[in-house]
Amino acid sequence: MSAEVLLAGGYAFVLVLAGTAFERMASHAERDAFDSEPSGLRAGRRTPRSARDDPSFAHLHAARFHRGLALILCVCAVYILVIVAARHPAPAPLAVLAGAALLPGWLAFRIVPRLFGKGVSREHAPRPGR
Amino acid sequence: MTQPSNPRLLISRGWLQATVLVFLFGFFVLGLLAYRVNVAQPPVPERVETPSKRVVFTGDDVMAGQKVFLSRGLMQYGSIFGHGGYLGPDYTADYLRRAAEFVKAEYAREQRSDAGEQTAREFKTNLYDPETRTLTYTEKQAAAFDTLRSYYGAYFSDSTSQKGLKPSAITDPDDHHGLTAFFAWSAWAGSALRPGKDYSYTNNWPPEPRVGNEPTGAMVTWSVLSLVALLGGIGVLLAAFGRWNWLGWHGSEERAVLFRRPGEVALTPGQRATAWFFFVMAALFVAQALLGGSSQHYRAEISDFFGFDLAQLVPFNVARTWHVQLAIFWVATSFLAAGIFIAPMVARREPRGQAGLAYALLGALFVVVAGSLFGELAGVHGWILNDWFGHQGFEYLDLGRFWQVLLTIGLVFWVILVFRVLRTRLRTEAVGNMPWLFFFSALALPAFYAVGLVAHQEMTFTATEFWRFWVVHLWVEDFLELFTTVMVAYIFVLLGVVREKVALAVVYLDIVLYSVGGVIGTMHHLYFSGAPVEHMALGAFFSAAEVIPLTFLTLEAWTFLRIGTAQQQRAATPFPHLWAVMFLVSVGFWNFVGAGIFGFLINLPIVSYYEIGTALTANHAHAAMMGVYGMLAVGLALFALRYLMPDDKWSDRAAKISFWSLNIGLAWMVFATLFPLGILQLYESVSKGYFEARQLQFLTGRTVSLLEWLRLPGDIIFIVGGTLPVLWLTWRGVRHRVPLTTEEPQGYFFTEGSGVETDRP
Repeated sequence: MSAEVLLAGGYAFVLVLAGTAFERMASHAERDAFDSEPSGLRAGRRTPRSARDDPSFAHLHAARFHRGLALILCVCAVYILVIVAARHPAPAPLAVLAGAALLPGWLAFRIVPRLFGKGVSREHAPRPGR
Repeated sequence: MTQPSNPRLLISRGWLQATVLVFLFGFFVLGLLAYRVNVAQPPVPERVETPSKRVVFTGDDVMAGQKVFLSRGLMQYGSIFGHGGYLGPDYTADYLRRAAEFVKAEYAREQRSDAGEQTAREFKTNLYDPETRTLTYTEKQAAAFDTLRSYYGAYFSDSTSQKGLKPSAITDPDDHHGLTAFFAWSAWAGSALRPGKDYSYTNNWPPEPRVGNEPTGAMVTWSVLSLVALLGGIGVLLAAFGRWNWLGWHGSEERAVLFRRPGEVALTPGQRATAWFFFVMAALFVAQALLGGSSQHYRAEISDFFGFDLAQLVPFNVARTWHVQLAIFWVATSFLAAGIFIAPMVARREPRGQAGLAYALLGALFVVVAGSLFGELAGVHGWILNDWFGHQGFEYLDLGRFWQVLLTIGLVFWVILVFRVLRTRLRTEAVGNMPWLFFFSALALPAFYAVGLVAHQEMTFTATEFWRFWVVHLWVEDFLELFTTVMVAYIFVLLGVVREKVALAVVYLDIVLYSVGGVIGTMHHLYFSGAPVEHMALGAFFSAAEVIPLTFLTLEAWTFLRIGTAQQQRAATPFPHLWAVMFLVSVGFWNFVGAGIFGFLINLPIVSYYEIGTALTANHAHAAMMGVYGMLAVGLALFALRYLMPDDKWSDRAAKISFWSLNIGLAWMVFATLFPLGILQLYESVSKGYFEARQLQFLTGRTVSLLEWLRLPGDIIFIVGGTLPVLWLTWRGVRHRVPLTTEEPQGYFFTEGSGVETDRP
């Protein structure tokens, strides 16, 4: 097995780990925004910490920012794996690379709906400046 | 209009005293280290001769070679002591390896069974006599020099562009002799034992077992201690601030603000002039990014730029020189413009003639940029070899001294512009309040940029590196950071979302933390450049502490932002700065990742020993410089542009595309290429040798070439989607500037009611 194939697989794993960390940061920022939401907006869920912490568009946009970067890492990982697969089209390397691609695929599958779906990020975005 | 006044300091005097104390301590230590580097640097021998008294080369040859190396832009191609460009080899390591191999082969030819040991012994033995200022080379070392002079002669005379240099770059045999002497001197400093010590002048750098160069005890010890400083420092600081809330901003901000809509905020003539600054900034940014793409292409495909031999016209060292110089120019242009834009908001007035003076400054800036870039091109091509008008050659301080002096004068002129606006406000404010900090932080920019003038081509390379990093590190990482912190804090104050007292505490904290780590931490660039070992010890220990404020201020900046945006939510009018704030969010991210993680990654002396001058350095440089200062410069431009053009001419869509493209492009550049390439290069350096890791054979290898190509999509996104929308927006700012208001400037403020409300203690 070529070292390049193993390195690509290993690096894809590292990118997924970093992407997972970014996604957790995004979730954390989003949770902060939820926690600080006025109670009227989400009765039955968490209790707001205080009135001063109104829903913060910065939290929601920062969440999108970190989530977007997490998705970019997934794309990067798949991109690297595909390019390396094109250079090593034998069955064994392809099997290894396909296996490695499952991880970024799984993370992207989790991220995409949250990033592009009709989530809170859009509902609570601030009114545009114009 | 009521002039605000705060004759008393808004926060405890303890902050001011701590700041002054830490600042003075840092510069006192730096002064001592300047003295030490002066007396303990590797000497340049008056002559180098063999035991039979044949002169191999002289000190004049070394200095002449250094001048050729700098004036022909070779520091932007390869490196000395690991400092410089990364396409060419490190000439210290290159000479040392080739000379050692030559000497060892000579011993082997004599059937010596201990050829390797004898070679190492020969290179380690320091035969410099300080009385006669003569260095004695063994006959074999002298023969190696003669052989390598021919080798480097052929190397620089190469009539092709296969190395990324212009064809027949340097053909004069005297220049070849000088360059070889310069390389030989650096290799001697890298291998010969420092008098009374068991390591070389460069702390045994480069790693080269053939001459007995291995990591030193101090290197490992201070690496460990710097880790302790980092972890302990973060723990103590977080515990202390979490426990006592010194900054006082974890309380609530109860005021409600009413944001003025863009178009309702009256602008002064000086502020309107900044539209052109931002346009020039964006144009320089586009040019800088394109040049970055072209210098990157050399690494992917060295002698073919999509069918065109670019090195005939813009060799690698020209592209890289322009790339790094323009990085400073475009960011500085944005900061200068932001200073001119903010000052009238602070002072609530603007004297007559400010716009004319601002345009004069912009014109002077244009002359400096054009003149210095041409001088650098002329230096590399050999048309101008004068360090005043040609290529001065120091990486990041490449501009000729004439242009360097003009730029310093321009920065002083800019401080005068800011001062004449602030003058009346300063009279009524206690020294130490925000208006004074704004002025002092502006004043620090020309003052510390001017320190770069101390470095000149007639000094030894060790001494020039010491002074160069006062600009590259201290100016950029401390004083630009300070100025931007003051400006961003002030913008939040002017927007009415954070009280002046809170902002003031943040700024003082910033100064204290950065002065503790950043000032002495400058020495982390000088582990292996010939400075004595205390530079490595203090540099490693204090620069580890630099990561603490990066971590801490990122967290506190988040709180800052949270309080600010909570205010915005209460505002009765829309907040107009979504994308400027988002750029600030990305600054926080890249500050932590690029400067903090990637910076600390290469900060430990033991890591730097194998890594310096590889893609991991470039990885840190790009993530930190573009990620922090670049994003901030664009954010400041968007903030000002929002007011410079009518509301209906503004495009949130363009700002959004630029924001995402710049961040995606930068992340792609870092994670698809620079970081993995740096790791591979580090592995090559440790497992095979630093010499091997810096050779073109490695850089053009199959896997490395693939990694270099991988960043192409990210670079396209960065250039097309990231820089062009900024250029378009700034052009609209010039084309559709809001009309000049001649009435009493009631609307000089971004908010109504509490825009520039000040606190009393």
